Amino acid sequence: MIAWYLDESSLLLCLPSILFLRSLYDEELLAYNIGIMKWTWNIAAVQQKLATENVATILVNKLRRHSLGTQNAVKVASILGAKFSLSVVSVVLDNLSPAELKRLSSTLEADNGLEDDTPSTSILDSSSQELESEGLWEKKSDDLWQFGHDKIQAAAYNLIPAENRDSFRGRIGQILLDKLDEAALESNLFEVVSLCNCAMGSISNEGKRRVLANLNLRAGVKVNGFVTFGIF
Amino acid sequence: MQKASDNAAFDSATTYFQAGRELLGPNGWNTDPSVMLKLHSKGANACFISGHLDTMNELIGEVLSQDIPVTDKFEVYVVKIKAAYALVENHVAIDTAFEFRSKLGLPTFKNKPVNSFVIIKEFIKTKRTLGSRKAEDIASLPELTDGRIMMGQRMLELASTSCFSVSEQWLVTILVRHFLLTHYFSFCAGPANIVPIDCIYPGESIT
Repeated sequence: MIAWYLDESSLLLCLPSILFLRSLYDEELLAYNIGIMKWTWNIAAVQQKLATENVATILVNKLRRHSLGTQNAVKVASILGAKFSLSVVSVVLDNLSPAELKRLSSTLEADNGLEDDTPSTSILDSSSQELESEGLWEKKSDDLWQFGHDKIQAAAYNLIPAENRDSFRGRIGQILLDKLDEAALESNLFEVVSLCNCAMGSISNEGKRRVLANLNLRAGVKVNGFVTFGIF
Repeated sequence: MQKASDNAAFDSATTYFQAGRELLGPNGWNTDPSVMLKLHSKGANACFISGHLDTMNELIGEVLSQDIPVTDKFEVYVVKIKAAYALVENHVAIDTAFEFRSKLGLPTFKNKPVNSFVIIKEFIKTKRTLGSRKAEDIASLPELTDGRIMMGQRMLELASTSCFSVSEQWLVTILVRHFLLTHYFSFCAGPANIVPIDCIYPGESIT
């Protein structure tokens, strides 16, 4: 019965369907009745939920149920890309000031009274396990993780207030630029430069503008190097 | 498929070069002239390949208007010639190549129809210079290191592409001159050096 409704609302795609069923379970609209040994559901409430929520809002609401620290980790990861290094997420979180972390949160999260005093590194340990168990992201190798679906990454990105996205991306780029060593910067050059460029309009320090201009030149030359040879 | 992906790559290169120019602003020519020059020259090349010809022309124009050594303008001259050839403006390409050679202070031609007499004159000049040397002797010449001459040779190579479209005689003259200069100044790594000798001297043996 529920499958029919899922199909009707074009939700019968594997991952979103699983997440939707989980959200029904979390909200006690779907439960396993031990007495009759069957799953039972409140079809009117499910229909209501289908009418008001799409995949994106289901995912956003699901992410919002996590602690603020976990949400911040997910938001930073969403900016780094579909695949990301957890140690890089940790470096970024460690270097964001409390005021910057606060700007990451929307007024809705503030209204919910979500607070987080835990140091970011220990948040990551618990957050990554928590998110992995829910299928929101998965471990690919030692330090490399990836979002379970591009819609999850998009939902995590949508948690960042729209007006702060560019400045936040620029700030992450600047942190990476300051903290990454030369080899790491070279292998992440395009990502770092693209992030820094998001906030280039707000960079007033001439020295920083010159450094970023040089990095843009380096990135452009590197792209050219992939597809062409020298001009001689 | 590969071509499409290359063009997409050049699109993103264009974006980086543009961001760099915006960051330095017009004052960049005073504060970081070498970075500014590279952002414009390489940006013009990326714009040419990705098909943003208006931006390419703006960038070329800006570099050419700067009071900098002509050798620094080499890259934009190359882009300008390639673009003219792509747009089937062969005479513009030839004129541009000759203009650059002349600014370098190297001997050059005037872009006007070539008669057989000119070809024979160039041929005799080359033949005399070569003496009894064989192809192996030419190939074993030391590699050219003088940047100014290399740029001049590259201009002849680029001009020869357009000459081929304009007139066969022009092509032969350019190739003979290129070969002569190659011998005179030593070996210059480049596409024109791998042109088969038979193309330069049809039916003739080099010895």
